[in-house]
Amino acid sequence: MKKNSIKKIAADMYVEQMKWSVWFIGIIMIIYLAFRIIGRLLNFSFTQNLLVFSAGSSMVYMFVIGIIAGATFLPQFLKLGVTRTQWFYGTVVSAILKSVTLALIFSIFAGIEYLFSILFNFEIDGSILNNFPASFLLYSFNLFVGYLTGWLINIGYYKFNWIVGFLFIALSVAFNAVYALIWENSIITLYSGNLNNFELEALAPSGLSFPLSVSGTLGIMLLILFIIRALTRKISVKIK
Amino acid sequence: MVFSIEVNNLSLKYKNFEALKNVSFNLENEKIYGLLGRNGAGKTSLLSVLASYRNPSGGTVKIAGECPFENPNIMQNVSFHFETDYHEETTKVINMLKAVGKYRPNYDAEYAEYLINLFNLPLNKPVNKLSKGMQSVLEVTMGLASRSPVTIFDESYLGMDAPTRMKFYDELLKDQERNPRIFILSTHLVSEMDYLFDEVLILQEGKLLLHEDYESLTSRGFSATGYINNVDKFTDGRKILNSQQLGNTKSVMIYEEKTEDIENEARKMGLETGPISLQDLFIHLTDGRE
Repeated sequence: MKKNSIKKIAADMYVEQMKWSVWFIGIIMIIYLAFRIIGRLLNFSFTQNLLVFSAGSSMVYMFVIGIIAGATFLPQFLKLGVTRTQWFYGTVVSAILKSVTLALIFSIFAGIEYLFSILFNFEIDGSILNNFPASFLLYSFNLFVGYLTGWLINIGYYKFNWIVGFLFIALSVAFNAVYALIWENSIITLYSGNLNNFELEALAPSGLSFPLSVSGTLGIMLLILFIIRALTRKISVKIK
Repeated sequence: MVFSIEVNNLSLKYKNFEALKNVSFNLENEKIYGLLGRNGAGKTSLLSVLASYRNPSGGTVKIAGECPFENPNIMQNVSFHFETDYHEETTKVINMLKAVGKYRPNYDAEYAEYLINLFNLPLNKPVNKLSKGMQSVLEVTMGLASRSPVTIFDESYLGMDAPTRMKFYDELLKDQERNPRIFILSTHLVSEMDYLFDEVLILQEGKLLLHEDYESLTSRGFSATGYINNVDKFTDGRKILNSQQLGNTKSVMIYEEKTEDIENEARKMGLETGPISLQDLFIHLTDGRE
């Protein structure tokens, strides 16, 4: 019964937010194509592949929907008789699914683009196929961390007043900074396909090896989730 | 199975303000309970604890013998409907009802459809485009069709016009007969809704002032109507809660139990006696008290 509810909640949140994502994906594709066409027309070099191009905006997008969805769905679910625990796990599962789906969608488009670049002989940064598993993992990590840090801010504002809310923004920025420090430029390097899997060890300029960077990232995620759970376990839901 | 509610020494604090103070009561039967109280008496606070929107600061709440807070088996069976701010809700009415159907185990889609027709609820409109009245209708439709063993309406009918409210009261009574459950109705529309209540709870400044069945509560007083001079003579020395006059006829509400002697005395003076209104009693009991 309990697990079923979590599945239901995750599915409902996933469907709802993927409806928003269709808009986001469409807009990114239009801007990307516009860059390509203008680059061709004006003869400037634009060789970024779609994964590199969309990486930053996708993370910001997930951060924003994390803020919007943060505590917005909680009153709605509570009204349907769902517990805070079920809502929490449902949200986590749906955020993981959204992160992976977006990574997958942009990867597929990037793959198609790569095939086109061979067929029609145009220049594009590296081959993401070289280190696809690592790129895919890192892209999904980006999105999930983006969502979690947005969610954290919203919970801070929902539970406390606006002054404390600012502290949560600071906390969220700090988490993002540590995350960026772990990976530094490796995110862009990976996506642009300038390295292959065998060179991953040398990836993180912070001196961390790839497995250690992955562990650090998982640590950040768990810490944020722990804070959110602790803050919402018995959270009072406002009547309005 | 009756989802009886046991509340023991319940208290709820918001920072330094104590919204509920040692409230205790039992609701054991599938009845309609009226929850009355003046503004700020703690009605919504109490209901939000019952619906697990808040965790109590002290005391215990048990529904069907279990603590309801974060208990999925209880929470899915307790529906709480209040005047909700829907100005950002772009979901269509039909999808809103579908969501209720998905999560409420006793939801009756056929009955929901009947209510939709009864109230002329437009299914394909986004909720934020509905009039205030229609939003209230949606609220009570979700509440009635959920058929939750504990169903709470906190002023959720305020936006409706009078004919719609009457339809709702009528439907509530009919459905209670078919599918009995615990209804808790909190309201300021006392005179309009009193006939719905089997039992009445009155909150006063965070404390439970009384919990009685409707009949015994309204027997705490009576009304007397007749020729003005006779009424004045009759009421001399008695506690009057309310009086109205039309020409030479006067009607008064008296706070005193109507014994046989009193009834005989009134009859001798040509006065007609009747039950006191809950509204007058409520005003008297909660007015100007510390």
